[in-house]
Amino acid sequence: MSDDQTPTREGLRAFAALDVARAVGMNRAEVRAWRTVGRARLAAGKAQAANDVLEYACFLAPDDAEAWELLGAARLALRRPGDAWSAIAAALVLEPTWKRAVLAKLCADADGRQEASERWREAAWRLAPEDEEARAALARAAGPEDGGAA
Amino acid sequence: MTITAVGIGGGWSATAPVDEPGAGGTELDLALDAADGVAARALELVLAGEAEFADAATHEAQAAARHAAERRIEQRAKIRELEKKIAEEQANKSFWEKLADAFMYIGAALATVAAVTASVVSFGAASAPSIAAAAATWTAVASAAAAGGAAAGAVTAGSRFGAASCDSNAANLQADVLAGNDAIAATQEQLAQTQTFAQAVVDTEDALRRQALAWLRNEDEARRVAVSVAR
Repeated sequence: MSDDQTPTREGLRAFAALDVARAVGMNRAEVRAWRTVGRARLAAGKAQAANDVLEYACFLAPDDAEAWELLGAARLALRRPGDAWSAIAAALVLEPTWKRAVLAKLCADADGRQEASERWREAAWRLAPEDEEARAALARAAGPEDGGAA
Repeated sequence: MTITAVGIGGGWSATAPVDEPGAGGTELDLALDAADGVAARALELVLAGEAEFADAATHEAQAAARHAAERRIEQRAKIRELEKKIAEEQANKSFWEKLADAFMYIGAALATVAAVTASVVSFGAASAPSIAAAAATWTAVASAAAAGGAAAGAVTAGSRFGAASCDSNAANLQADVLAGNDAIAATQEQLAQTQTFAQAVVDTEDALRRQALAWLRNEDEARRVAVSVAR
C-alpha cells in the first residue's frame, strides 16, 4: 500500500492495542460471532441492522479486515459511500484483496470519482486470482481487465 | 428499490435485474437506481457463496453473540474502568510522548542528533570509543529513519569521526564539523517532515480513541442494538 495509508495502519494498530474486546470480557470467538451476525443481516437485506452490528464488531476487533469489508458493503447498501470508503480503506490496509479493491472502486463510482474508479479497477485486476470463477466475478463487479465498460 | 428488498432467501443476485427505472422516471430515480446497482454489486461481492451459508451456523453465532452481550451487563464496571484508564493515560501524555508511541525511533533519532552535536563540539576531549559508539548508533538510527542521501552523508560523517579520532588536525576537525553540521541539518529537515507525518498518525490515533471512548460511553446502547439485531 502507499505511504499515505500508513497513518491508517498505525491508527488501526493503536486502536487494536486498546484491546477493548478483552477489556469487556469477550474472547475472539465471541467477536467473530458478531461479525457472523452482521453478515447474516446483510445477506437478509437488513443493511441498517448489519451496519449497526458490524460497527460493533469493528469496534471490538479493529484488526478484523473481514468485518471492515462487510461494514463497507453495508454502508454502500445504505448509500453512504463516504463512510463505506472509511471502512473499506481499513480493510485494504489490513489486507489488500481484489474484492476490497473492487469495493473501493464501487465507492468511487458512487461518489462519481471516475479517475479513482479506474485506478481501483486496475488495482483489482492486479490482485486478481487465478481461478476462472473468481475472475468472472471480478469482471462482473469491476468491469473487464482491459478497461472496457463495466 | 431499497436494500431491504435484497434477501438471500429470494435468491438475490447482482446479475438479476434490479428495479427498472419507472416509466417517465426522473433524474433522481435514475440516480437512485444507479446507487442500487453499486450496492447490489458490493453485496454480491461480499456475500459470494452466501447461499450455502448454513442457518445453523447463523443461529449458533446469534446465540453466542446474544449470550455474550447479556453477559456484558455484568461487565459494566470493567468498561468504566477502561474508559477512565484511557482518558487518564491520554490526559497525562504530552504530544511528544504520543509521538514516541507512534514512532519509537524519533526519540532515538533526536538523542542521536544531540550526541553527534556534542561529539562535534567537544571533539578534542571526547574519547575515541565514545565517538565510535555514537557513530555506530547514528548509523543504525539513520538506517531506521531511511533518510536516503542525508542518512548516507550522516553515516559517512559519523564513520569519519571514529576513524580520525587518533590523528585529527585542525583541517580535519573543521571538515568534520562542517560535514557534521550538514548531516545534522539534513536530518533535522528529515525529522521535521517526519514530525508532520507523525502528527497525522497522532491525529488518527486521537480520532480513533475519541471514537472508542464515545463507543464505550454508549456501550449500553450499542449492546442493546446489537442484541435486538441478533434476535
